[in-house]
Amino acid sequence: MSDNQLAVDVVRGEMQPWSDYEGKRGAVQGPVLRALLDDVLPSGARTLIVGPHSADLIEVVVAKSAKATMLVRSVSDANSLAERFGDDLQVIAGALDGMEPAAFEVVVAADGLDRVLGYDSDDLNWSARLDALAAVASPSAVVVLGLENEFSLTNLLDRRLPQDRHADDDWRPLHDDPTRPVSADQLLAELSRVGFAGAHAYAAFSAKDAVLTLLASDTAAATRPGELPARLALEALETAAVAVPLLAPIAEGATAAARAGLLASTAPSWLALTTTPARHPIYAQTSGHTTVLTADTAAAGWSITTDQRELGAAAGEEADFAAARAASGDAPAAAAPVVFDLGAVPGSVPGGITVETQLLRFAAAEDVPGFRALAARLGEWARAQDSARLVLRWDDVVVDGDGFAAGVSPWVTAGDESAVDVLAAAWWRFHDRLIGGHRRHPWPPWMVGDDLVSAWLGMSGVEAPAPVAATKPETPPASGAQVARGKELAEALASALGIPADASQTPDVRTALADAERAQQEVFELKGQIFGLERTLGFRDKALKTRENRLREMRLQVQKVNAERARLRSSRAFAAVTVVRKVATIRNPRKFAGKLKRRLKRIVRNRLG
Amino acid sequence: MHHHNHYYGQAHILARYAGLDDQAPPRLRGYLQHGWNIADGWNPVHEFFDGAWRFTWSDAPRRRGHALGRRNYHSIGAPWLYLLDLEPELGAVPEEEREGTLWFLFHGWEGGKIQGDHKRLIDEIRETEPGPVTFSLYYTEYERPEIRKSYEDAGFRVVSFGRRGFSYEGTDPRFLYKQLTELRKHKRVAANRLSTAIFYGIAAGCEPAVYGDPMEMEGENPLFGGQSRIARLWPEMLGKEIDLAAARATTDLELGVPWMLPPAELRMLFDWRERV
Repeated sequence: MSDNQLAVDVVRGEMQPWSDYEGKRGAVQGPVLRALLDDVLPSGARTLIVGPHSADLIEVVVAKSAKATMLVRSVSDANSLAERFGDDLQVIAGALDGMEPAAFEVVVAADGLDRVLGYDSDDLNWSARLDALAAVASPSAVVVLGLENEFSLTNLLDRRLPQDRHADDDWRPLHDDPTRPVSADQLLAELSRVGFAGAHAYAAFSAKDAVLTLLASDTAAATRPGELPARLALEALETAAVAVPLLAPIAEGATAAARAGLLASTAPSWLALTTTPARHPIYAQTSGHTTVLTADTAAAGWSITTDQRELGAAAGEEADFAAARAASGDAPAAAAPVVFDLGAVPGSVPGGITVETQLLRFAAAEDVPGFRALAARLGEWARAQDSARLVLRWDDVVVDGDGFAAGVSPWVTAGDESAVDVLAAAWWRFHDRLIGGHRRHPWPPWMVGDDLVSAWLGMSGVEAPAPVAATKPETPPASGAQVARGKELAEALASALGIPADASQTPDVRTALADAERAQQEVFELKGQIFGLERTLGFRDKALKTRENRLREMRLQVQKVNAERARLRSSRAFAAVTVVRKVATIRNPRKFAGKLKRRLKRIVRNRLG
Repeated sequence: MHHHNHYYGQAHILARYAGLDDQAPPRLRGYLQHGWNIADGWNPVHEFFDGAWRFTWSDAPRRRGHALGRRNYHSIGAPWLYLLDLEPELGAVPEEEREGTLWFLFHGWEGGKIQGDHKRLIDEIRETEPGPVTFSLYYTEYERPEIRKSYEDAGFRVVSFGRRGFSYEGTDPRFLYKQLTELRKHKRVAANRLSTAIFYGIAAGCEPAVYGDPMEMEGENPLFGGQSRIARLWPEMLGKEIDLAAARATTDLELGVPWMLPPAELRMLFDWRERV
């Protein structure tokens, strides 16, 4: 293509062929970022978008701006954008250092400064790139600047070699750069250096290119494991972990970071804003849906709002999201048992920790009585709920003083489900997260699965079914039928969220090793059990042998007695005794003698003929 | 799985509680603690098969076992507690009719006999106990005429609850039933060492006392600290007059009241499923 054919402006440093939208990495995107931009960008300004941003973000910038310009380094990307947005957007292809100095009132570089140079550009380090950015902004500009965190948990736990993580972008090692900020404070200091003082930052938790959760830095630093901000960040990280091959489970590190107040320091990236703080300290995309929840501190927790509709008031008016997802190819099941219903999200959520956090602590401490008491209270609470449609998740339900409160999960059952099945679904999800995450607990391996969920259900006040005999090795226990529907609901929820509840479905290295070790341990224990059974059989054999010997001894004694008895019966003494005994029975000797005499005579007569 | 599980008919009680045949209790997939001790529930040299699960009465033995490098514990509460639940009336008499003291001599076992001054102990018991004394001897002492006679001559009623058995042979499955019957008749329970029987007695409503020559057992292994550690850990359980509320609280913990399981959970935990 000759320059004459280009439909966009081109400055030095453009790339062709190349695309920042269709490679391994896409443009920064997501409804969370869109909601934030909608909140913070001033109206009627001259705006520059720097780097690849998705169309939904461009739309909101264009809508807010008097005039919008966008710089991308790829010519083909620039052409596509120009075609899509027409006169609403001036598109420039080229590198940031190829731009003439300008004074844009708003500069949006949410993708950061890693994709603003071409392979023909000078080797500008991050600091120099920021200088180049400042050169096109007015001193009082509103700047939105993203920065990937080299010290993020996802980076630290990424099992790929550093040189294999950045697709084809890394023709120079961009990330090995001493000038590159590696903390939110350093990022703000750099902005201050180029004249943007008073900026503030959000910790951004993303999956692939989509920002899923934004936490104001101070909110991220203050939150602790199980609290709403930490929970939303963790859910975003778990979503990210589905796409990034990890060395160890992300949840464990994130929990420790939150406990240390370091969640903001270990976020995948930051977003700095050189404007007054945004309206909300928390922006989060609901898992499995595009709705954005925003949360603000309230007296006893968080007040929740959304970009879609009023919360809590639309209960029962469930969105037919399952069908929408199925139509878009996102979800396989058109008749999913779990559907999205924003009406299920309450307008406020207590500031406490999740029930799951508490349950995991009890399980790790092997404190079954504590676990049992909490499960009993959960059962009572679940049965007392007005609506049994909410799919209970212990990683969402919040401990609220002596009671509990539903969290921000908007997933409900598509049809009527029994309270037992909904409760079983909650316990299944907890089961998968406990066992799949190789967390410490006191239950033996043969209980894991149906029996364990049934046991927890029993702790929650649901009577266990009568046991059934096993007629074959694979005969399922009675608990299998009891918890089957709950399992289906839990699986449907995990599918809807897009995050496997069981971490072993996308194993990190440690989980894979732990799985292997668990299998080895199972073999070890089974061998021990066989040994124990063999020994028990040995004990039993000895006992049988002892009894057999006793029987043999007794039989010999009987035989001996019988032999003596037989010998006695054939003896003359016995015959004499027999005669005497018979004689003793004769009542009339004279009569007996007469009979005997007659009988002898008859015998003699017969013999003589 | 292990013949110790049948000791004192404990497996039989648990099987009954779980709704199964208590004449021939099913194999229990692991080791069941059969007596209170200051270690992990078993004697220091007890052998376990690889990967075995250990079912303790309470959490403290689990913690101590963990420190010994052992894993796979699950606390379930003492079978005695399940017996109390199954037999709320067995041997019970009106509270005002309970009298005397059921006195337990620290007993030896088949592999070790106790040595001590029985005469001196008898004198101390006479001086201490306000009412009639029933003396419980394990059969290893009960069948030693010199020991048994010394207590009978002292005017004590001497009883024995039978044998715990060995290798599935000779176990008296009513052992603990008999013990419970006797305890519920008595006002006090006493022993010369803090031991299982004291905890059983307190759980059965007796006032406890622990005093007298603790005696020594042949081959006794002091690995876990012996009597002095008991004195440091449970001072509230020692003496001739013991604070009952404190003793009951300790008893609940040591017997594992909070750890008791419902029948269905017990069946799952022990892998007690009928296989035909």
